[in-house]
Formats: sequence, C-alpha cells, structure tokens
Amino acid sequence: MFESIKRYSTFIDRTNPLTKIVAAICLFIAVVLIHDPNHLFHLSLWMLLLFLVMSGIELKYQALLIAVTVLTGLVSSAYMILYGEGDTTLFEFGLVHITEESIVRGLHITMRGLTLSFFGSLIIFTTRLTDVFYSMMQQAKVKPKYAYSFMASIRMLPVIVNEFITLRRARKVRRSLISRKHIGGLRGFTSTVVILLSQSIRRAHRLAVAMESKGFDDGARTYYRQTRFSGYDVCFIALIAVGLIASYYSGQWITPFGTSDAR
Amino acid sequence: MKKRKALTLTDVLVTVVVSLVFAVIYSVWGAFYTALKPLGIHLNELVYGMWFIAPVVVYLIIRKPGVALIAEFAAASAETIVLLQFDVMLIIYGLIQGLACELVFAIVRYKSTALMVAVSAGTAAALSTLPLDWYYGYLAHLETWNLILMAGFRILSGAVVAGWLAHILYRALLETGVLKLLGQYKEIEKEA
Amino acid sequence: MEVVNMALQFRGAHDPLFTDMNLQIEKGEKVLIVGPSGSGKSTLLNILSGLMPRVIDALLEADHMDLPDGGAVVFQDPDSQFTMPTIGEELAFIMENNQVHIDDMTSNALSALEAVGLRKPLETQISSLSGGMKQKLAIASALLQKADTFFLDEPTSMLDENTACSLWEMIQEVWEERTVVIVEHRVEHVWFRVDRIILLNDEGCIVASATPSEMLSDNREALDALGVWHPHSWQNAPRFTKSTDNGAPLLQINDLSINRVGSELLSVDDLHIPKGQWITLEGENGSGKSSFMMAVMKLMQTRGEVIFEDRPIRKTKQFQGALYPVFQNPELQFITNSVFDEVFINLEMHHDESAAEKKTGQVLSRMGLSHIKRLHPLEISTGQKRRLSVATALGGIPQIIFLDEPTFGLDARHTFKLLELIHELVEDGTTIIMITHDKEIKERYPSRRLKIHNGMLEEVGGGV
Repeated sequence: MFESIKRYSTFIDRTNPLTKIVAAICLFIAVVLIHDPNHLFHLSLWMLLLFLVMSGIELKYQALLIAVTVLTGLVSSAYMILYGEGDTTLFEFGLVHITEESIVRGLHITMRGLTLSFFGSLIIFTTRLTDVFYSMMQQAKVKPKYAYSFMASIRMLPVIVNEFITLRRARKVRRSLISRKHIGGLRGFTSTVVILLSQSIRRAHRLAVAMESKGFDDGARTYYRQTRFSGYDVCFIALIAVGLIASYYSGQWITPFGTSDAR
Repeated sequence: MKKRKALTLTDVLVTVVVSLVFAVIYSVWGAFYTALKPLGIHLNELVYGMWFIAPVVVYLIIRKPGVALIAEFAAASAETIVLLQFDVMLIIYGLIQGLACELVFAIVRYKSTALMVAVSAGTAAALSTLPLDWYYGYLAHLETWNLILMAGFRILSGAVVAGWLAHILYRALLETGVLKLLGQYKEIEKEA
Repeated sequence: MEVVNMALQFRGAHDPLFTDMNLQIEKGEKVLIVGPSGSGKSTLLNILSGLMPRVIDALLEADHMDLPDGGAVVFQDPDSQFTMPTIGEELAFIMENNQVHIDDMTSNALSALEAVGLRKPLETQISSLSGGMKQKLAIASALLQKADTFFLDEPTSMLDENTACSLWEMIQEVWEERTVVIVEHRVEHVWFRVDRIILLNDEGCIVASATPSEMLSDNREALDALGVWHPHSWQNAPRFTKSTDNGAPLLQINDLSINRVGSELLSVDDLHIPKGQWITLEGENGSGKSSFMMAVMKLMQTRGEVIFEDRPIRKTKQFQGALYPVFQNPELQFITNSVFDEVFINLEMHHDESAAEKKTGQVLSRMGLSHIKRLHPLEISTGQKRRLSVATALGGIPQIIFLDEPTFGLDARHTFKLLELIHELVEDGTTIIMITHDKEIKERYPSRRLKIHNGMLEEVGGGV
C-alpha cells in the first residue's frame, strides 16, 4: 500500500502481523501500568527511534507524522493540564487551574499516547493489510467468512468516500434552490447517511452474491499468501521487551521529570 | 429459526460496510470536534456516540448475535485504514463497547427493535469504557466538575447519538426498501 | 439445462415475477436473453446459475429443474464483484476456494490473464484498471473456475462502445465448447455471435425464442413494442429538426484549467455557450468530462473564469439553479423520501402550496413519474431515477442542464423517451450539455459537438 513512499524494508516487514497485534496489546497494558513519567519518557523515545529507523518511509512523511502525533497527543491531555487536581498552583483563571502536578500528569498522558502512536505508525508502514487477515485465518483460525468480508470491504472504502464527496457536491447545487429545513440539521444528516448506507448495503449484497458464485464458503481452502511464525517474531518481541526494560533503567539516570509517580 | 441465527456472508459484509460508512462520515465531521479538544471541557465527548452508532444500526437491521461486536471491530479498523493510524487503544475500546452492546441485545434475545433497546445499548457502550479511562487518563485526579462534565457528555452522547439517532436512521432505512435485500419484509410493511 | 413449469415470487411482493416458465438450453449452446427493464431477465439468470434461491432469497417452485452446478458468473458492476485489492490476489481467491495447490496458482493465474489478453503484473491494483480491463479480469476469474457454463449478466453495460465490442470478441474466443447464457441490453456487438435469442416481455413471459436473424425478421414488432434494444433499434429513434439558431449568449468560459493529482487534466481556452443549444461532450474514459462539469459548476478547485450572463461566477450558489447538473449516480442528488417531495421542495419556494402541488403534478406527469410519486426515490428503477433527477432540475427553471451520461443503462424505450424530453426542453430554449459515449446520439441529435482530446476541449466538425 505504501510502496511509493517506502525507501527500504526491514525484518519488521516480515514479522507476522499477529505478533504485532499481540505486542500492541501488551504494550497498551504496560503503558497503563507505568506511572513513572521518566520511564515513560524513555519508552516513548525508544518507540520514536524504532519508528524512525525501522519503518523505512521517506523522511518528510516521518516528520509530518511525528508533528501530527505530538500535536494530537498534547491536545488530548489538555483537559488534565487545565483542570487537573494539584497543590502547587502555577496559574489560575476562572475555572482553569494549572498546577505542577496536573502538568506532569497531563504530559504523562500525552506520552502514553505518543508511545502507542509511534508504535502504531511503525506497524502501519511495515504491514500489508491483506497479510493481517491472511495470518488471522492461518495462525489464529479466524473463519474465512470474517477475514474475506473485511478484505472485500476495504476495496469499497474509496467508493464510499467518492460517493460522500459527490453527494456533498450535489447538495451544494440544490442548497440554493430549496428551503434550508430540508437539507440542514438532523434531516440533512439523516438523509445523507441513509443514502450512503442504502447504496453500500446494495453493494455489499451484490458482492456477497458474487463471492458465493465464485465458490466461496467457510470450508477448507488453500492460501495464496502463506504467513507463518519465524525468528523475526522473536526478534520483534525482543526489541519491544528490551525497550520496556532499558527505558526503566535509563529513566533512573536521566530524569527530566522531578517525580517518579505521575499520580 | 436455526438458520436465521447463523451469520451469513451477506450479514457479515453488510455489517462491515455499514461500519465503514460511519467511519468515513465520522472522520470528516469528527475533525471539527477534535478542534474543540484544547478547551478541555470535553465538547468532543458529545460526538463520542458516533463511535458506537454502527453496532446499534447494524443490530437493528440484522438482529443476530455477534454483529455488534464485528461492527465495532470494523469501525476501529476503519480508523486505521482511513486515517492511517494503528491505534491499539481504539481496537481494545471498540471490542469492549461492542461487548457492552451485545450484552444489552442478548437481554432482549436479539428480537426487539424498540427505541429503548437502542438507547440502552448506546448508554451501555458509553459507560463500558469509563473504567479503562479512569486508569489511562487519571480521571481520579481531575477536578470533580470536569469529571462529571465528561461522564455526563459521554452518557448523553451514547443515549442520543448511538441510541436515538441510530433508531431514526434505521426507520429511515426501512422506508428506502433496501432492507428487503436482507429479508425484512414484515418490518417494511409495518413501517408503511 | 432445463426448467419446467417454474414459478418465482419475491418475498413481500404481491404478484409472482414468473409463472409457468419453461426453458431449455442445450449443452454448448450460446443463448442471449433480452427484455425490457423490469422483465426479470437478470432474475432468470440468477435462477439458472443457481444463485437464486440459494444465495438470493425468493420463493421458487418448479416441476422439474436441471441446472448445471458450479457455473461461473460475470456481473455488470466491477466495483461489487471483486474481493481482493490486487489482480493476483483476486484470481488466487477463486483458486483458494477450489483448493488449488499454492505452487500452481501463479502459473494458472498468468495463463488465465493471457487468455483474456490482460497483460498486467499480478501485483497491479484492481482499482487502477479501466472498466474494460476489470471486465477482462472478471472473465479470467470465470475461466479459473473451470466451469462448463458461463453466465454473463450485462458484462458490457458499463463500458464504452469500442471497449464493449472488443470485449465480446475476446469472450467469443474463450467460450469454446461451454454453454453460455447472456443477459444484456446493449446488444449490437453480441447479437450475431450467439445461437439463439430469447425475448421476455414486461410480465416475465417468454414471447419469442429464435436465431438472431429470425428474431430480427419475424419478431421485429415485438422487439420494438417492448422497447428492447436490437441492432436496428435506432431506425425507430425519434427524429427532430436540429435547431440551428443561436440564442443569446449564456455561459462563457475563459482559460479554465483543471488539475488532477498535480498535473493538468484539461484546459479550456475559450468556450461560449448560447441559449437553446443541444450540445454533446465526448471523450475517452478518464479524460475529464465529469470533471469539466464539476469545474463549470464551481464544485471543484480550478483556475480560470466562468462567466454566466455577464456575471463572473465564483461560487456554486451564484448560479441559483440556472445551471443544473444531473450526475451519473442520480441517487446521490436526492434529499427527501418521496418522489413527489423531491420535485415539490423546488417549487414551494416560488409558488404557494396549492399551486406548487399542481405544478409538481405537471412536472411528474411530463416525466412519466406520476404513478410512482409516493415511492421512495431510492426504491425506483434506474431509468426512473434519472428522469426524477431531471425533474428536480425543472423546479429551479434552469437555463442550462448538464447531463452526465443520461442514457447509460436504459433500454430503448426509456432512451427514446428521454431524448424526446430533452428535445422539448431545447425547443423551450433550455441549453443541454450532455456527456455521452453513444455514437448514435452524437451523430443524430446535437446541434454542436464538443470533444476532449489530449487534454484540450475541441469542437467536432468545425462546430457552430
């Protein structure tokens, strides 16, 4: 999917998608359990490094992605920075109550987001979407019915987006000719969604008929793309585990935050 | 009866595609609400219900066990595909919200299309992830008024957007006749 | 293949679609089924291919049914018949279903592609293929199914003239000994390639079954009466005197330039469009015809000037409905939930309620939509949707109507009806700009022809 912006591939491109998903879930749990902002700081740097080195995409896209990730990360914790509890007040204005504790906590939440997002971006650019479903069928024994429904639906995504764009254009034309009540607010929203849904349901039904006519069923089948577990999976897990442990120790040496507990 | 309960390929495809449609709409309109986030007063929570409107709509049109869960999973993976963000959190949250919906639907034995069922499912889904947020977002350490605002907006959104709005969309879909493809003749007659 | 006394009814429908249907198709025979829209020809194909009632629910009864198992079906819409993102994966999908060993997959896929003349690497994204190539891929898929029967459901209805012709040539080359059942309404390129043609009427009864030449010689009247396309249909097309007068200038376009993904797609130096002209716009798929419509409507970012009645136009709403587009997918233009309301909401702005209702009735009957005015706009047939979409334009009293392939997918009856309507509009002084691939329409009707060629908009044949 990203061939055009890939510069090189790494062993992570050959790691089984299931391993990546399981690693992602473990990382999520770890991140929720880490309360030391210094540990998390080093961990998010580790993930940033992995993304920079291992994703293999062009620098300008990496830069763009990092900028967006950091920004959304900061924005998502604004509620905590502005309104979190704390004793050492730095700034107070009306409801806004910024304290040292709330800033640390807010940044801690931001870093949780960053760690997961950098890791997520690494996965996105090193995984073929269809391989995710192929490995789900082969290694996780997910029924083909589900896996192929997902793969087939992905093909429809651009069609849905195009329909949405065209529909909005069509409404722009008619908007000046009719009363606002037909096209604005809830009514406008409902009719937009209903048209898109009904078009898509029709298409999904036709596709199901087409798939069954091609002999698709939930029974035995062979697989064009073989996915398997290999040494790469061990390396990948090791990479994440090393990051988790090493960042704990380096977090004791270099401490940008004065506290070891964000709570 | 037994045949009706098993998910067919059409059921699964319709479920996934409907979720994709909502994901597309959400990523266009949702962008506006993300812009409200820096205020920190959780206005973005008001559209949070859009996240689990798909399972409720899909349940109303198919009414079989499992579709709500698949719909939530699809909505979360659509985010991955549309916005190029693989967000583990979204997928985990999606699965929890899907399970919460399934629970409500199981209680009515996958039969009722009443408004109350839709509203309950929406509310259940909204509530289901609060415990996780509690730990992830340190909600215990938030000024009380702000916490109440967040939870209130979210539950309101679950009930209104995922429940009430989903029901309106279902009724409007019945009128278009497209659900005949899924064998809903009786429901369409009743609506007419 | 044989069905005896077959009856079929859709669940929830009041009347059966077929009753006492008897049909026999010999092994190796090539049969074309034709009929007006709504006659159930696609449904019949679905029954013969075994998809109905196994996959598509319906009530089916018959004294005797002998159908081939595992026939291969090719559908009309490329967007809803492929499962996978790339050519290789799509072909593999079929082989996976039949549990072909992985070592044989690549060679099988390549030889199927070779057979249909689609020379593309296996990693090619299906979305990057043209409509014709997608249908070739669909045929290649059918070949891989190793079926002895092919069912083709309007495989060329979404293709332009030349592509359709070459696709049929290719299909004839690969069908060999197989039994082939075809449903198609664009028949000019397939008519004489088959052994037998079956004609259905509006009630879903078989009214004739004959060889291609006999069908034309003996059943010409029935074909024409049902409005089914046949190789000589255009002889019955409505004839109008072309309006040659040049009305007052309406629309002027200067130095318009449309970009797509960074490079220039189309540029228009200088174009004047006066009142009361019938203009056709032609050009290959992807040459930017629809984009041109969007650009003039200001629905797309472009450089250049659009001047309407001496006023420069910057936003769509400045047209106030005087320039009105009818999109290729009319569904996307609808707003309300009844055919009546769809027209009424335009008129209620200009008239009081009772007058608006009366006028709505007039517009609907002019479009032949009165009998379905209570239905939901998404429920009606393609032809009806397209007419409704033109009807929504009339509410705003447009001076120019821009039609994007309006006759696409319509049978002869509805095509001619639509052409008559367009002629009436032109007579009343409306300018029509019509994107079309149809050779006959381009040659018969317009007072002026435009063509997109090498990224430039040109007049055809010297123009006006």
